[in-house]
Amino acid sequence: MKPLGYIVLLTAVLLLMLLVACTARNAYRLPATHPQLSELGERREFCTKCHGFKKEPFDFERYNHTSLFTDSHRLVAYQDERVCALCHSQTFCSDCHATRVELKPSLKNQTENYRRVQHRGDYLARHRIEGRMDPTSCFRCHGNPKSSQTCQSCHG
Amino acid sequence: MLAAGLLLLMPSASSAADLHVTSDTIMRGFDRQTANGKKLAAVPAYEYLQLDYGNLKSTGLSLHANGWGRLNLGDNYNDGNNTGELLHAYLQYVSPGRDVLVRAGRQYVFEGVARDNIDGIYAKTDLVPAVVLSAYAGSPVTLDSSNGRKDDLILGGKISHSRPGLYDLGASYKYVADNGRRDEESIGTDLTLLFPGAAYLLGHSAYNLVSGGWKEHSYELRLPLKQFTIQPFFQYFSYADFFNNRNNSANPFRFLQGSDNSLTVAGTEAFWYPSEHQEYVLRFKNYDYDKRFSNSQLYSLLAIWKWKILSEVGAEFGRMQGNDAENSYYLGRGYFFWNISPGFITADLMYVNYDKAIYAKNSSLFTSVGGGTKFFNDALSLKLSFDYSNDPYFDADYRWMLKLNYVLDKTFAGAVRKN
Ligand code: HEC
Ligand code: HEC
Ligand code: HEC
Ligand code: HEC
Ligand code: HEC
Repeated sequence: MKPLGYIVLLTAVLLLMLLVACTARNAYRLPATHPQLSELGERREFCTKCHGFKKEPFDFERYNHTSLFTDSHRLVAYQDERVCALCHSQTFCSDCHATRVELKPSLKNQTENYRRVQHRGDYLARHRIEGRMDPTSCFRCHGNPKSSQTCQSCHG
Repeated sequence: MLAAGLLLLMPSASSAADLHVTSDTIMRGFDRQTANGKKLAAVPAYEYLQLDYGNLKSTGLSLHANGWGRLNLGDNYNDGNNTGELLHAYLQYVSPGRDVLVRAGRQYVFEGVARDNIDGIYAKTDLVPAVVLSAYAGSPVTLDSSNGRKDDLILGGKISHSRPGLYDLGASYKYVADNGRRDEESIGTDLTLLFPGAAYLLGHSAYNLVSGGWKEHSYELRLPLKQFTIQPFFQYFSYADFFNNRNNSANPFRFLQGSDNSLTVAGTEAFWYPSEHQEYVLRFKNYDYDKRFSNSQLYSLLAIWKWKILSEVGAEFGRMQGNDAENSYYLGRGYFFWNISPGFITADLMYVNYDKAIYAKNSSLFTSVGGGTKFFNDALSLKLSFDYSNDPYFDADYRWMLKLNYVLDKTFAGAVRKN
């Protein structure tokens, strides 16, 4: 599809949504924060364990943290970061996403071996293989002048 | 900034204000060989500090900050790079009805095509029923090293519509300029579709308005079947549109932009939960390229056994089957974490075997053992670890690390105005 067509279609869809919206009544608001799971006696549990599979007014199942969640949370994070902010401060995200943190997440939290974070172990040797096979993932975090400081000594 | 924030908070402190401070002090030690053959004993010390103040558990104003710094206690280490960074420092306001959110200052914005660190302002509202609107504008933090920040600009926003139980649909826009020059302009869509039987479709597409082409399409299905969940996915990337070679980009990605390649990834994640204490995971990815490489595959197998909260044993096996030996490896990992309140012990072992040797070595072995304990009602925790690595870059690399984590939670009831 051409971009212009895409934009026109999008605008039409959005206008339609506005119309629908004005007739619908959806007053659900997220709370300011979530009770800490550790205070509820859990570490990292599926949302559905406590909330069940009900889809309205809030859909919990979508946010279940599977053990591959580190690799696949981006699709839900694009949608509404306020849900993440219920439990996570930006500091939590920064361990992995920071503009510049110097220590990779597996080093900064070296004793938290139960976490599945990117770059565990010797990554200097392995990164060239993963970087060739799928550089798009690397670009998300290292694709700007500041967050690529670590790379400059070898990549210029 | 901080002082202004605190001042602003004063009059609004109609309920008790909370102060939350988290401090991570890290000391590491290891030896490095410099280019001229001299040995160097590095002992870098780091401080990572997070501070939150205000009405943290309810609506109103609050202040959030996070930053880090490094001091070299031993020989000089990592001289060329900066030794600290303010990651975020912003003031947040949430309206009493929880339908308006405003953040001002340095912050991360995750909003559709935006996943950027900005110095600026961000607002989000759901005043119109079922429609969420957000907008942001400011200066991108990551561009301060490319010709300073004069005339740097980032702005954009997102509109989304949702019908609970049916779908969420969003459209987002982002514009980035470095020194007045347009570096990036993108639009994108986000989608969740719910089907009967708790199945889902999640997806994201993004279009590059500078190059005039689709950057990516990423879609994922979620199919729960009793103890199993299957999540097939599909991703397409066009390198000419996904990467860029302007000021806001970096090596080694610049040359990829001009490579005219494209990548299609298809595969699945599959989860099996036979009981509360066991979990088995399989992941398969197939990579398909337009140029340079031919079909390649990634296989991962994961098994986790938990015997109580926070105590678990895990094993992982992986195979990267690249188009040739240079891009292929086997990976094995095993770890345990045993929580013996108030302390814990843990160990990790990771072995990677490369089909083609890297610097004449065809494997990497990494091991780490650690332990720790907590004091003062869990306010202070101390963690210690020792690592050993034998890999293409280091023959025998021994490292130690000490981490002190301190958490302060305080409520100032005195801040309550009695009227
Ligand atoms: C250990 C149990 C537990 C887990 C796991 C859990 N929650 Fe909650 N959640 C609670 C409790 C308790 C409350 C507060 C009481 C309430 O409102 O139901 C709550 C409230 C909420 C609310 C507000 C509900 C409302 O009625 O407005 C949302 C939204 C929410 N949780 C989302 C999530 C998400 C997303 C996850 C998964 C990432 C999750 N929760 C995981 C226990 C849990
Ligand atoms: C109900 C609370 C809750 C919500 C909502 C929530 N998370 Fe989490 N999340 C947790 C907990 C608890 C952990 C485990 C933290 C740990 O291991 O220290 C976790 C772990 C993670 C991890 C893995 C970190 C690791 O090292 O293994 C990521 C990534 C993550 N969350 C991202 C998100 C994103 C993105 C969102 C929003 C879409 C989100 N979370 C929403 C509670 C939540
Ligand atoms: C344990 C490390 C870790 C943590 C913690 C983490 N992420 Fe991520 N995140 C990743 C990885 C790895 C990717 C890349 C995945 C990929 O390429 O598919 C990613 C990708 C993303 C993306 C897509 C970025 C892009 O440029 O397309 C977003 C958005 C995102 N994460 C949001 C969050 C938010 C919000 C939080 C905090 C609540 C968070 N993440 C915490 C590791 C993490
Ligand atoms: C979620 C964000 C994220 C993603 C995705 C990501 N990285 Fe990183 N990476 C980091 C962080 C944070 C560091 C810590 C060092 C720093 O600040 O540069 C790091 C460090 C590194 C290092 C230095 C490792 C060391 O041991 O010193 C290399 C090499 C690297 N990344 C390569 C890659 C490659 C290749 C990819 C893609 C396959 C990738 N990264 C994807 C966040 C990410
Ligand atoms: C110690 C040196 C070193 C550092 C530091 C380093 N790399 Fe590399 N990288 C290499 C080598 C060597 C190669 C293989 C080059 C080749 O294929 O000719 C490579 C290859 C890559 C590739 C594959 C490029 C291709 O051929 O398509 C990517 C992507 C990559 N690195 C990303 C990064 C990122 C991102 C960082 C910083 C976070 C980083 N590297 C840091 C040495 C390094």
